[in-house]
Amino acid sequence: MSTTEDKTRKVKLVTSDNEEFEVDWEVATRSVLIKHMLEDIGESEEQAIPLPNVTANVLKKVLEWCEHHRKDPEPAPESSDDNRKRTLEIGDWDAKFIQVDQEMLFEIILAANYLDIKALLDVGCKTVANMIKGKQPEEIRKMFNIVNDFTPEEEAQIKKENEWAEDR
Amino acid sequence: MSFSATTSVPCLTAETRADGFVYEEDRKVGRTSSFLVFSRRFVAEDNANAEISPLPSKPPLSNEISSSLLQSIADATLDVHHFCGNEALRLTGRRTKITSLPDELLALIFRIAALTNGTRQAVSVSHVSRRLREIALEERSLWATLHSSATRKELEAFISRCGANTDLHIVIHISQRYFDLHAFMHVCLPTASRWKTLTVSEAGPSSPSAHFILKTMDRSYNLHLPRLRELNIKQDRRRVGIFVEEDVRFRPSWNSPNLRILECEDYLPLPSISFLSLTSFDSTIHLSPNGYHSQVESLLSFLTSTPSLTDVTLRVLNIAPIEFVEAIEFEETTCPPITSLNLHFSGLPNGDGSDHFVAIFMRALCTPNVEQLSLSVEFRYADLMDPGLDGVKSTEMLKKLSCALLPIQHTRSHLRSLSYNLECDPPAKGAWKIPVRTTLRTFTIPLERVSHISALTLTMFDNVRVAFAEGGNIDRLENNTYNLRELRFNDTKVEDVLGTLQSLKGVGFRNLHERVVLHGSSALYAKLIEAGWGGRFCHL
Repeated sequence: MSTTEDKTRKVKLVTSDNEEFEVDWEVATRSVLIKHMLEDIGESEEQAIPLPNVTANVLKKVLEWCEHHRKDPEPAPESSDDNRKRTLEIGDWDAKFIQVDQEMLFEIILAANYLDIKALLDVGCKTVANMIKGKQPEEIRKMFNIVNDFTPEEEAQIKKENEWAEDR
Repeated sequence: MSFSATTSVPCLTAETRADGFVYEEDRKVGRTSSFLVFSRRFVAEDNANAEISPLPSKPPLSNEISSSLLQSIADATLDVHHFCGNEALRLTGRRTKITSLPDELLALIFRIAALTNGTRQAVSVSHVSRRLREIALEERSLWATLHSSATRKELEAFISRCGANTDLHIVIHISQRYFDLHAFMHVCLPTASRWKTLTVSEAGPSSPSAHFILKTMDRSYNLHLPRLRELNIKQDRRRVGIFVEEDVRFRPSWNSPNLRILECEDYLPLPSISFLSLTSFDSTIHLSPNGYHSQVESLLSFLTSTPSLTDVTLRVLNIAPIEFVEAIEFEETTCPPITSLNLHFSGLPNGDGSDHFVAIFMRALCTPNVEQLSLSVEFRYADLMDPGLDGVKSTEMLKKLSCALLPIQHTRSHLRSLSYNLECDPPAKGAWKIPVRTTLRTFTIPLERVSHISALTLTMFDNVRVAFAEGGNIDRLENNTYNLRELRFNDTKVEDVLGTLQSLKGVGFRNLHERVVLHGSSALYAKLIEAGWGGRFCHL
């Protein structure tokens, strides 16, 4: 539970490329990882939180998201039933935010996963899911520059599986 | 090379080396190179020390220097790490791509894609590359949906890939005139004990009905569904008048002790032993001009005969074409277990009597223990643009509607959260705002009927201002005993918010700034500040 004092606190974050960011406590603690680290170090305002898996340009983007969603309620723990209700819909602001090149998109997903920001991870994963929606394997390979490395035996199995669709 | 203090450190003191100069020089080309040069010199001096004995006269390192040295080493280590990493990246041209994601994230993406894009997505991603196939095949939930459009071989492969104990989701969508239910059941029936959700839907009135499929499943197979939690039935709205009478409907008799959620679209379930464990019921129904009375009676009867229902959502659509006979009433139904009720009425007729259906429906449905009530009314855009419906007439219409939504004879002493949503068709969503006539209308909330509420949410289309009316119990107002603590505005103009707040003050809310927390957008907050609001505010 956050206190009024927490909300006025500043938090220092240091990226893997040694850039320091000073952000509001409320923004930083959208990340469960940072929140737990802050709980561990207690009241020390001077101590910077090292984020060795996030570079400055990615953290900047992640913090932009956290700033916009600073007032959002904490996400409820997901059950498998919630998952069934999941849609690919992304809010307008998030959709605009995530319009980045593929490299940055995957960096954001990795950062959201590392920093434990579930809602941002969800936005990133939904975006990728939207990209592969309804695509054939060859189209997916082309879109993401993935090499087809199946062995001839595996290709034969895949050919058999493709017949499922033809039999419908 | 050793970094131990006894052999190396004396050579690194500022007095014995021009260390500071080197360090300063290298700073100009970046910290990584400073470390490299620093290291080379360290080696050179270390080698030199093999021939020249250390100077015993050198003083030991001060704490400050030790600390600085350790910091330099730590910095340098970090620099090397990044230098090597970046160089490797530059040399190999490797960038972060989809294959850089760990298996669990790729599996998560596949799950989302498969849930929303259908079962073919699982097959599609498993045909991309060896790694993606491995991840897809290991992610059992990707293969846990058995769809009626799949071939026998496909169904068998899905059942084999999803593992022996995974919950299964059965989707029967009838899009063709002929659907071989028995062939589908032949493959899927052995897994019935693992069915978690069952969806039966139809594409149109020319295919077998969802009702027929369910009835056949129930009559032809001895279904034991211990894990079944959710049942979804979607029937084509054009069948709406056909399956109203009780004698052509059926009561399922399958065993589903854990069934909690029932969602129906244009399907009227009959009370049944299979539904006894339900806690949530969500129904959308298009009213039939000829059969609406039976439809509503059937719905109400289901509610009162299903004793564990606590959460109910009813969407009643297509009200306008009905020609109401003034005297018609529905049988009163009391549902004490219901604590959460969401009601949506769509397509109300224009002008006099627009509230008639709402009034008789709400009078019949009595939920004395409701704690959360959501009332939503969708008007027809064309009606609101009617030049005959001026501000006075529409305010009168909305006043009657408001009273109809909260019948005075019902008790609702547990009600804590109330939500009103007035919208036009198509619903005003997102950035698209409907240019409804600029005539100002007022929607009046009879506060004395909801005096216990602590949270009120208001969503109104443009030019509808909410006002409060009280029933004359001045003593209660004087004592400030209303419990309202939170007022939430969605998509509301600042002048309408201010009008609503003024109206609250008018019915006796003192110290409104201190007592009630407003929830709204940041833009609304900024405008309210400009307008002099100094109360508590939460951003939505």
